[in-house]
Amino acid sequence: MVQSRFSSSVVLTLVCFALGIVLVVQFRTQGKIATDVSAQSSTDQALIISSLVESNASLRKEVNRLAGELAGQGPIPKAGSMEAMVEELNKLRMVNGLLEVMGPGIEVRIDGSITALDLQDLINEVWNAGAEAVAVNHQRVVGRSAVVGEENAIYLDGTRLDSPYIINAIGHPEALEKALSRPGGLIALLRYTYSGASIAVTRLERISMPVYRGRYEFRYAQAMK
Amino acid sequence: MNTFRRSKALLAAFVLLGFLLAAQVQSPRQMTVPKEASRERVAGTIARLEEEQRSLKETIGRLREELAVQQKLGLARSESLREINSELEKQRLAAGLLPVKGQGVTVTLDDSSKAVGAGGDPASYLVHDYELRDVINLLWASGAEAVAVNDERLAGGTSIYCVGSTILVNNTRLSPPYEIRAIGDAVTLEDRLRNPASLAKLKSRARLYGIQFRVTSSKEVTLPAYSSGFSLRYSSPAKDGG
Repeated sequence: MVQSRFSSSVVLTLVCFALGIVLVVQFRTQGKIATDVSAQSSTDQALIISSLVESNASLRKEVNRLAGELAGQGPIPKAGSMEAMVEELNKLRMVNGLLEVMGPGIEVRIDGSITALDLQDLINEVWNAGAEAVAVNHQRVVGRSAVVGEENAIYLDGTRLDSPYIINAIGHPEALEKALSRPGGLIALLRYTYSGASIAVTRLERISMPVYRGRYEFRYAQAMK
Repeated sequence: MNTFRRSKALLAAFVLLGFLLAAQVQSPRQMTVPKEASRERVAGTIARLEEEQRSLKETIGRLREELAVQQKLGLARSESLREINSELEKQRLAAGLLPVKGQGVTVTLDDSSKAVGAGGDPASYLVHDYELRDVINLLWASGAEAVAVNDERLAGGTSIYCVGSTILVNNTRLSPPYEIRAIGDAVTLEDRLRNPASLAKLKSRARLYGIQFRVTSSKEVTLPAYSSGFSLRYSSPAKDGG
């Protein structure tokens, strides 16, 4: 009986000891779970998510605003249409004698004295033969150019010209030459009139012409729209 | 009694120990495992949202850059477009491609209404192409800014010539009376036209054969635009050294 009382006390002690350990472990586990999972993750993570959602919504709004602004930038002129305009501009500048030009054509060389009217007719003749650009003694001739004769001298747009008179015309060389040299044409008439003068028409592969020296001023003329 | 009480205490301690052991074994499984899974889900959501935020910021940066480029380009293009346009208008005006109005003069030339005299040359009673050229040349030399004959505006490359007794301007057949209109200083233009030293031949033919030659100046003369084309098949702009 004494033996049995002693042994049951030992068992009871051991059980209580084990019980103490288990209780401590259980409490620790509970505490750990409380700090790690529930408190931090639920509350903080929810905050992080809501602020991200909010920020992303406002960022998306900004993206939409910028995209809208880009789309509504207004019509930006296309590069192609601008190129066409520049081409047109250059063409008109050549026509107006404001660009140096080059190309094939002819040369009419007159050694001898002619009148301003003869030169005027000759210029008219080369335009009529299809010249695209004309120069006399390396001076560009344009639509408004005037040839004036005074005191036995010829003036082109105010500049005095002297023999030899060299008229250059850019265009189809053969067509220009044929038109000018045709029987009964102006060159034939000039050769007949000025038998002492030497008049030669030559085709040239390449002629270059300077720009018109005059100015286009419009003080009286007004464009009508 | 004593033994029975001790056994009871021992039993109670064992029951409690069993209970707590069971709780300890259960608690990580029941509480920690499910919490861990939802935490990973939440972390995934946060990562996704952060990724979205990064890409949105990137998009905004790109859009702002693009917008700045477009605005600069648009401004530059519309500026150069304005420049090209105004230069084009100038060149069109100079080339005669715009109808114009302004003060100036009108010169009217017409064939004679007199009967051809015996042994006379009928050609002496007609207006000739070179007379038109002479009048037009004088107008340009006197500072005319724009000239037209009937409905044909004179431009670069315009020629005035005749085929038989028909005069062609810009390859268009004209018929008399020839009305040459010019815009410029009306007083100067009229003075130069009336000056006896100018157009002497024409004036003498007017006296001799009755060719009609009239000059009137007016505050407003209107000229049509040049309506033919400019062919430039053989010309090209000469670059430096060309």
